[in-house]
Amino acid sequence: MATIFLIDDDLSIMTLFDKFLTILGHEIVAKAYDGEEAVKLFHEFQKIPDLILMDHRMPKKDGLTATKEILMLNINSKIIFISADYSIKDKALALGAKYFLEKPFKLDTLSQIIEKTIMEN
Amino acid sequence: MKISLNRQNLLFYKKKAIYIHVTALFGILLLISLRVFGLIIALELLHDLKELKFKSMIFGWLFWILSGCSALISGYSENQLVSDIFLLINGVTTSIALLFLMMGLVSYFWEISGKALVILSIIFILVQLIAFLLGFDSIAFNLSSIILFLIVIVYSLIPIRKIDVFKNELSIKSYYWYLILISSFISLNISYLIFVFQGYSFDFYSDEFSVPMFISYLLNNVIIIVIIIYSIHLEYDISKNQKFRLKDNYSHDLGNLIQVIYSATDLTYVNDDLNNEKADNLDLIQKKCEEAAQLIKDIKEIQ
Repeated sequence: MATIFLIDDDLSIMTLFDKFLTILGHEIVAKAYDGEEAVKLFHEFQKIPDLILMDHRMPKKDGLTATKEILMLNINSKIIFISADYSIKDKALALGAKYFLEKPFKLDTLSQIIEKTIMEN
Repeated sequence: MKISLNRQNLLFYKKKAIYIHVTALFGILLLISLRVFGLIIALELLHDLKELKFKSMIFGWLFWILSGCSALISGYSENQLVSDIFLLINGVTTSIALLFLMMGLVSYFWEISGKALVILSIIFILVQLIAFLLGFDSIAFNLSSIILFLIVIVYSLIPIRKIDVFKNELSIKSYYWYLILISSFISLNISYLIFVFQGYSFDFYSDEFSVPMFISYLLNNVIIIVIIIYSIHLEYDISKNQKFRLKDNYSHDLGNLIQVIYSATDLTYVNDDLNNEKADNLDLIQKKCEEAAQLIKDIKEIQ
């Protein structure tokens, strides 16, 4: 099971993902509601989480910028980009995100992608 | 009168005759027609979009039409003073027209202030009027050329200062038309300077065909055509981008909403011991979510 860092400005989505991933047995180590908070929290981690679920359109700092900064702090971070904005898929993957999930999707899809990313370890 | 005493040295008035050269006449008539065309387009855009920049452009075209008419009246007037006054009106209206039109075009990149436009117009009128009354006629009649020169400098700096707008908002066609516009303005300024330094005047009363006069009218007409085409391209690009942004924002927000419904029903499946009726209802919600997700994808693909 993995340790996961959730980043999304939508409280409802955050809560539902949290519940679902906990049911699957994963541990949510932290949550951030914007890109700036995400980078700040990541900076403070003693041990980096196995996975980061990253939204794109967020206040203060968007997902692409946050991804770039997090990967600069730790190149081995595994980021799954989750966004309703499909146009940034290529940019996110080019930056170093492992997968891009376009909202809306079924939670089954999310669990499959998470399993796949963990297996890549 | 002081005015008539000082006017002795002016190139503009030395060869005054009672008719306008045919090149100048057709040049001015074509200028007026093209400006009327520009006015009609600006009126239509104002009617549809109701933005300050189109009001600015409408005033610009109106003043420019007025300037063309005043040039004709000045040319055909047999009374020296009336002719002088209309030539002054021609200079004043041209400078104000250029100011309003170019401010309209600049507003695609920077916010413009209506108050600043009015203040600048008053300054232009006063400077030209005072110069005329004091006998500095060359300043009065050439201010529009100086303003044109300043506008070229300011407008040429836009891509440097607003590179993000040029990169993200405008198509390559708009960029080419922008380059053509700047090139035409620069050509007009250079040709004007060359002709002046070579001792040519821009009077249109001579009965001889004048190459500088022909080039001047040709460039002026080209500039009007380019302004019209460039402004249409600008408006098209900006409105197209606004449409795309709206489409992106709505599909993004809808995507998030559907995600919540999708995830909530998924979780209900996991958590609850469902009877058949509840399971059927959840299936229906999920089915509709899938349809909505497909709809969002279709919206995103609209060009």
